[in-house]
Amino acid sequence: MSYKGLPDVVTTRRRNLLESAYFTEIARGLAVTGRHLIRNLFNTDKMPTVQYPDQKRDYGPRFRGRHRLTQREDGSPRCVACMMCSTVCPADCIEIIAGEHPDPTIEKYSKEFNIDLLRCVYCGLCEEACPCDAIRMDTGIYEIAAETREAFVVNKDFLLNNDKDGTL
Amino acid sequence: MLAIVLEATAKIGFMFALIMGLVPVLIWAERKGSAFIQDRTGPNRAGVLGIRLAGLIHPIADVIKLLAKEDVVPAMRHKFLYALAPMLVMIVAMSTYAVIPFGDYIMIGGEKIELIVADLEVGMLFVLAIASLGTYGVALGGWASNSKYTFLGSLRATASMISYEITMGLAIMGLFLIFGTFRLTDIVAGQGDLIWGWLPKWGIIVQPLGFLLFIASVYAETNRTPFDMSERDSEIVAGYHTEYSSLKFALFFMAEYAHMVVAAALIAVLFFGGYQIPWLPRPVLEANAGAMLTGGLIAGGIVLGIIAWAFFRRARREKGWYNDAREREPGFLGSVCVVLALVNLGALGLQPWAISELGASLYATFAQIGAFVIKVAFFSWLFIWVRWTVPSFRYDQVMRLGWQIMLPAGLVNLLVTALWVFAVHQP
Amino acid sequence: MEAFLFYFCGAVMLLGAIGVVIARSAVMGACSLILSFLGSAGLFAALSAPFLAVLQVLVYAGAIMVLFLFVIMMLEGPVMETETSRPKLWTTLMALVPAVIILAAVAIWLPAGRLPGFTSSVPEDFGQPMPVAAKLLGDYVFAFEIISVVMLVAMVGALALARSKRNQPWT
Repeated sequence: MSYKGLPDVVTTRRRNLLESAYFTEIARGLAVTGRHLIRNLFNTDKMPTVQYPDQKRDYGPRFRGRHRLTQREDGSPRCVACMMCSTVCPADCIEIIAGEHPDPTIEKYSKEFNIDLLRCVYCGLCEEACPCDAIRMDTGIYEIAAETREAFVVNKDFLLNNDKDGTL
Repeated sequence: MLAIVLEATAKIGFMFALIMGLVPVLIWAERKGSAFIQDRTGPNRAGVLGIRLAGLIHPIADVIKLLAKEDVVPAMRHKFLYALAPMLVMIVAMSTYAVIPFGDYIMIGGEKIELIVADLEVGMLFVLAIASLGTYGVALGGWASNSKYTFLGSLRATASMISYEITMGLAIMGLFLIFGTFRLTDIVAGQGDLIWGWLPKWGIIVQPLGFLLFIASVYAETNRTPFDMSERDSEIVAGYHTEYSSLKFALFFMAEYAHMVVAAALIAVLFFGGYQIPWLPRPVLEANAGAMLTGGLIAGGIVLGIIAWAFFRRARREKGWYNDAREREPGFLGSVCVVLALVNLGALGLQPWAISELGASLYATFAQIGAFVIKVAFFSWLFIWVRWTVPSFRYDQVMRLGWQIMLPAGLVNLLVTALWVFAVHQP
Repeated sequence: MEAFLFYFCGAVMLLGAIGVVIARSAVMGACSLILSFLGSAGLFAALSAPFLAVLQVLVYAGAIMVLFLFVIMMLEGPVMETETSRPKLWTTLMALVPAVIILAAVAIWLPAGRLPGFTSSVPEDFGQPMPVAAKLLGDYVFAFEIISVVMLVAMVGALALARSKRNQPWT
């Protein structure tokens, strides 16, 4: 199988004497690396490196970060405990305990809503499945760290006010 | 007696400070230089109160880490040789400096003090002898660790060191013939002459092939790329020091850089005139000390001013980047530069143009020491530069190059030089 | 000072020599031999013969012993604690009796008062590069050249043996 624009057989040219002597070729290589060195020495700002904790790369709006639970206009959680998200979740990381809502038009609400962030694979199926737009992954938070495994299981209150970065 | 002891201590102290000062700087240069060569930024985090000096604090942090680390040792090691090997490597790396002249002479209290620790009749042979002992640290360390990787690494290192020692010796034989001595001070003094009145009689001019052979074999002796087969990560982990940790590893690591400095010093002394400044022999330096000192102070002040301006510009640009102590760094460094520039210009008030004879002599000495240090620093940097430029050779290629190409080339070089010296000296 | 250097280097040499005999592992034996060579180099240096001292280190300790060690390390393999066995009485005697006889002979034949005092001295230029070169390249030039030709032949022979076959790819 041949690739377009590439030869089937790689032929090597015989090195001439100057190239075999190696020293001129080293000098040429040194010139290349030296050029990079000098260029970077005087243009430290234009370096492609992102100074990570200080600067952060902007991700697109579709980036799936840490989850959050959305609220109605009156401030109550939109979640109706329909279990769609926990059913569809491939990692089985969402645990919902339903309760009866005092408002008869709403029927159910989630008494508890826990997500195990260590098990979550950030596939985004929960937001797709949610009929009420109650769970979203649009926080853009991707730094998730904690001291213990238990701390990674976040509850409803946390998910409702999910705007902190970094450690849990 | 006391004077002799003081003199020797001062010289040893200078050499020790030069090496031990250059080693962390070289480790820093290796990291930062490789980063810049590869379009990265390199180390820039460790700092004291926000003063990071472009990563120069990192070697200090490294040392603290290595001192505080647990010394993990393999259970089935050879206890005595395992402990001895890193010491041997370091001792060998440090003792070669005894015969390297770092300056001409200095006049103190009417006495002329040669700036070399031990001016041996057989100086260069001493260097070769000590270098040949350097193999033992590597070989024994790899064997005593009782691991396949370290053993392979030490075998490779031993093989390459044995092979290239011969070429190294042959490469400088031509130089001995031309200067007629093994004594390094005489070789350096001989390189102060001019050929045809304008070309400095440096080793590289009279022995170009010898220089190429010497620099290649020195790279092999120090196990640096492209001859780094004894510690090639992708094949044998870290080679002979795989099983070493903590301070023992630090000794190996520092010895590698100390070896680099000694190799650079040898290249400078043998082939680039040592402390000699081309076209400016000592009498000229002494005669024009006043003018040169004045010019140097003014130029230093101007350069420092420009650097300070660059720092202040940077301080303005970086405002609000970090919101911590790091933001003060460019401003602080700029202020330091301003102070240094003012000191430089203020020193003009001492009337350096009317310098005394003793002062002129001192100035010439320090100018020559400075030239030596600059040369050593450049060739040390060349080691790093080459490492991040060329890929390394395969084991059989190293052996082939050493035995089949460089050894015959060294013999031919020696023969031609001998014939030439014979023709010149015996008409 | 001279006497101190002599006794010190002599002690180092003897220590190395004893080490060669009693070392269990061949690598340790080789290391002891290196120590012994370094001691003899020190003796030459104490006689202010730097050339001989440096050659002793360069050739014996630095080149020949490295090859020794290389081969020993290849053959002996990994570090192992060899099982200890008590030396038998007659082997001990076999070792001790000749040693005592030789020591006694040396002690008897050595002129009394000769050792600590250094009555005779070596020539002024003993072991300097110039006289060594004059001897080698003057008086014994024929032998020297013959040896160098032999060594050249050996080197060319080694090259011919080690030379890879032609037209091998990737070399």
